[in-house]
Amino acid sequence: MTNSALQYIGKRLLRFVFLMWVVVTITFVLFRVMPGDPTAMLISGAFTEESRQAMLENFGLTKPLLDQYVIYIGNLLQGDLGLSFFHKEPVLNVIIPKMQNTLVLMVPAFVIVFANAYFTGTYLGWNKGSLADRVGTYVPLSFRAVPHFVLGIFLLMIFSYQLGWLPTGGMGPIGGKDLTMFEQLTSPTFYKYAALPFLTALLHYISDPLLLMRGNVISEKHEDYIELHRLKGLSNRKVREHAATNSLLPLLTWLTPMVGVAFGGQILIETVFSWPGIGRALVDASIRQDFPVAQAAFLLISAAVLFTNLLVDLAYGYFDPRISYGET
Amino acid sequence: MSTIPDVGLYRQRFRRLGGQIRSFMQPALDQRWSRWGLYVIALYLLVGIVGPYLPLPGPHEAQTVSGGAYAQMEPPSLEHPLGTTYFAYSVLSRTLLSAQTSLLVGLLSASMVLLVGVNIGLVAGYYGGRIEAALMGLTDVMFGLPFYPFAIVIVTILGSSMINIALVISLIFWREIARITRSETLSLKERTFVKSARAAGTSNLKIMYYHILPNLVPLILIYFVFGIVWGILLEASLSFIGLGDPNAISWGLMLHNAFSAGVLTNAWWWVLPPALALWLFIWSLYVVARALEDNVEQHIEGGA
Repeated sequence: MTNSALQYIGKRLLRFVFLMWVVVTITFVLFRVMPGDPTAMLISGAFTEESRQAMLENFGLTKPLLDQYVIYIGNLLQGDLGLSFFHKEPVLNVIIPKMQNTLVLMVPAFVIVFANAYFTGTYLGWNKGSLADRVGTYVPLSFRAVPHFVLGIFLLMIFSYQLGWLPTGGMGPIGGKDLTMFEQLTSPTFYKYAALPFLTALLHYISDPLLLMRGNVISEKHEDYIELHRLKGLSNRKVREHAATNSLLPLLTWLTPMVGVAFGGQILIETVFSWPGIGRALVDASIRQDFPVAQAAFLLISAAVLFTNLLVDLAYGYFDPRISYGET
Repeated sequence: MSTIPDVGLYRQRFRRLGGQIRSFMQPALDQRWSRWGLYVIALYLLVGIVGPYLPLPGPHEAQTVSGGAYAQMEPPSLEHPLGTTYFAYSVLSRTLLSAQTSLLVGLLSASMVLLVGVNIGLVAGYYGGRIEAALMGLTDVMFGLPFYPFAIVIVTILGSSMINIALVISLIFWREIARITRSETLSLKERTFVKSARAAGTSNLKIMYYHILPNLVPLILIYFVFGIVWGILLEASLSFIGLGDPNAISWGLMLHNAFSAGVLTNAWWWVLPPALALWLFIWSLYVVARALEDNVEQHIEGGA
């Protein structure tokens, strides 16, 4: 690895750390401006001003804001996100399994969406105006216009309630024992439960990158180098592959805002299908006013988004010959 | 430096702007799908405006059957055209009145997004240098924030209302429009008309808002439509997960109520109207936005 490549990676890492710090600070500020303090949520009924003060002191809320901020960052660095008001457990124990549940749906869906965009998008763009193109753009677009939860409700009504083929929600039968990730992935029941939320995500996200790729290929098709490849006598398929490779970079850029959007969409899908993921954890925490969990869920989602962006940046630097590492 | 304001010139410019908008909307009228989209949007506008004056039962008025008992969960009939909900409310009036909520939230959000995004993009692109670096750094930060989680956190803290929903959207989505406005401004400010205006001693503010801004109208219109979509979607989603404006009737809230009442098995008349209303509206807005987008791309390809 050359020196400039290392520098590029170093810069991106630094940026990641900086953005993480911004998000952490925003979160700190947001959760300190909220009306009231944790004592209002923790203890119901009457309790004296004295015990309230004792409690605030116990939480460190009587210290100056700056001190609180330093303590907060220090705790974060040690992986200490506090205790859940509701579960009375360390927040991370509550949240990490939920994050796994979310990723187990999201990652495969995104891999398929991305692969489909690459192959189908190239085909549609190359054959612009054909019947396949018209059907292939309007059908996904129509699904795209259905909000996640509406699509989810439709699928639920058809496949679970009318046809009775699939369970109505959750990750496994009620009262079933907790399975490890490996046991889940090898049991057919798990796939029955995962089918509808997975399908919802797939149908919803499939159109955007597809249309983007199609558009890229359409504009690449008229570039000079394509003409050159043709004149060289390359087959139509080979020329198309060249156009596809060069259309890949904008698709990578699309991933950047998309991962954030997808985590959001996941919240709705998880609500419809009672999937115990990170999104639902955030919503439940919001409704229960369980601020430590809400804060941690938000931080964890943001961290996942920023980390994916970092990976995309690095991939971009790797794939795009025009980026000279030293100068970005 | 004072110049006599030339009223005729302003009028001419406004007329030109009107013509620009009309010629810009033309492709949406020319294509079959987007023409239908425009009709649907017009219908929703109509329903949104006249909805409260229609001779319908109020949204919080429990309906009764002829015997006098509450008409709970009645399937559609002549008396209750779209049936009733668990609380015996009329599904028809709730569905129609929700149009107003969606429209208000959509228009409010779109206006706020544009107000923030266009100004930031314009200033960043026009002044360049440190101002640009700072503002564009800020957009980078915004691209790292996950939208729905952020919205949920804000609504949890500030409480849910239409204004707060529009606020969240303008806090996040100005990033897209700011980026595009900036890059357009960058190329526009190198054009002759801007250079000559500057040579004539026109103030920076006037160049930005009088000479550059009108050229951005096609782009701004597209993002206005997208802004409406974002607003409607966020409102519907928050209402669906139970974090919506408690004082507004909306399709998202109707779905939330139906969903949490656990009646998806049989009460299709309660679920389908709000779901289809939402879908059709968003679909229409998307199709129109896409037709407008095609037009702008042609402009760019044509080398304008």
